Amino acid sequence: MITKSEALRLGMPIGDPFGGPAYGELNMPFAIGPSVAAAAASIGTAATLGTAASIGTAALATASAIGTIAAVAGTVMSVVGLVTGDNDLIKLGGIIGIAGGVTSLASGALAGATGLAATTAAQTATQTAAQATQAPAQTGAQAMQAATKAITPQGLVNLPQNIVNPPSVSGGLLANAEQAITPTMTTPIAPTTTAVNSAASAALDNAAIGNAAFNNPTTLGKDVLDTTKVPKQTKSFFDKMVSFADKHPYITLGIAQTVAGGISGMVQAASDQEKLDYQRGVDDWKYTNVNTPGRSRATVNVPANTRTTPTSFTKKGTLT
Amino acid sequence: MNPMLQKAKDDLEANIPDQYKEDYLRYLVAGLKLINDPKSHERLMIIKNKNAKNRLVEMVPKGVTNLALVLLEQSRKALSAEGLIFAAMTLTIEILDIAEREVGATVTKETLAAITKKLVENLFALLKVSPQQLQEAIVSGYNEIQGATK
Repeated sequence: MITKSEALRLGMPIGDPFGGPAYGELNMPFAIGPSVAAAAASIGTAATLGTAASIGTAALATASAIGTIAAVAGTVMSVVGLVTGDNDLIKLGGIIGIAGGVTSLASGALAGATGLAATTAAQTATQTAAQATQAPAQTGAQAMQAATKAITPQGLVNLPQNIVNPPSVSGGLLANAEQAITPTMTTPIAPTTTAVNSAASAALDNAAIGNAAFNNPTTLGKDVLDTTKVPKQTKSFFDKMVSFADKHPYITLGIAQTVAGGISGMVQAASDQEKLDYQRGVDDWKYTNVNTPGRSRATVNVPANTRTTPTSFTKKGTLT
Repeated sequence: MNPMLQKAKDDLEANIPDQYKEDYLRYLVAGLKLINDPKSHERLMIIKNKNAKNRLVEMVPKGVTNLALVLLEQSRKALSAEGLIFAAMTLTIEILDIAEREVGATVTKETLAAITKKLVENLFALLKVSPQQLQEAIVSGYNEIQGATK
């Protein structure tokens, strides 16, 4: 039997200089034979992408799967965007993340947060966007800042109560979204999300996404759908999406900042436990896969002619 | 590892939904095997090409997409594409780490952002998600969210 520490060591790429090659056969989830090694040898060396003929078989493409895939891609982009501080990447992640719908918001982009918190965050972000719509003079940057603050745990705790019982303060109604959504807010929250919904619907209905999100759908689509090769994507695959997000921040900011705020705020609060559980899962997975039945020493040490006999041993390999 | 890369990797792994974690690990282990295997490692474009450190944005997404293709086909579609996307990003980070340690490249925030953007483009193409399909999915998801928040 291989000990747990040995099992974990086998899974580490660096750490035991005498432990043999990293990621040995015992840890391989599926066989990588000579033919695969040959294919792998082309990694990064091919002039064009991939073995073109086989890409057709690699295609996935059920309509229902696209939403989840896009949501995952959106999460990846948002995470990297937050780390690098790249606003375009955050926006793109937010837009693409929309494709996953409510489910992805709760389970993917906002992993670690509770469903209630995720829903509340989405509502909060939407309401913040409504305020942005009703306050035309407000800049996109202010709306983003406001939305980010709205999704903080403290904001979430205080916000529902303030929505139900808005402090009665005269003047400045919705004039400053940032002020409106802070825990110590002195201005009532927008009563409904009607404004943003209608504005967003109008923006979507006028085919703004269709026309602006992608530079030239006809040409680009032809390339993408070409089964003979992976297309060389133009730089504009996402460029117009960013442009669209800039023009309609009230549509995208809600989702983008729900993702952003979820990762940097609420998820952060639960991340320790999340990471711990995840690491345990990794450890258990490695341990389980190393000690597969056919490779255990107990089996190996049993004489071949007695292996099928259900029995116990007084000494290694000796029948009682 | 570069602190920025390490943080990106940590944050990414912390945000992988439970249902994709096992697939992600399987893809990742297989991918690391290919990256670190001496035979294939020597043939990495960033290792072979002397000018690689100045062309990371061009080379890395292309190489990782090739790697993703190999992994996807070897999985015989038994593993999810979602896990592959997460794994591809982590493998990108690992390759950028190799580029820094072995080639002397400098990975900046701008470099990582540009590579990520290009990688996702390539992965969409690899998975045959067309812009039109993506657009439809976005509109559909938006309507769903809108309905849920009314």
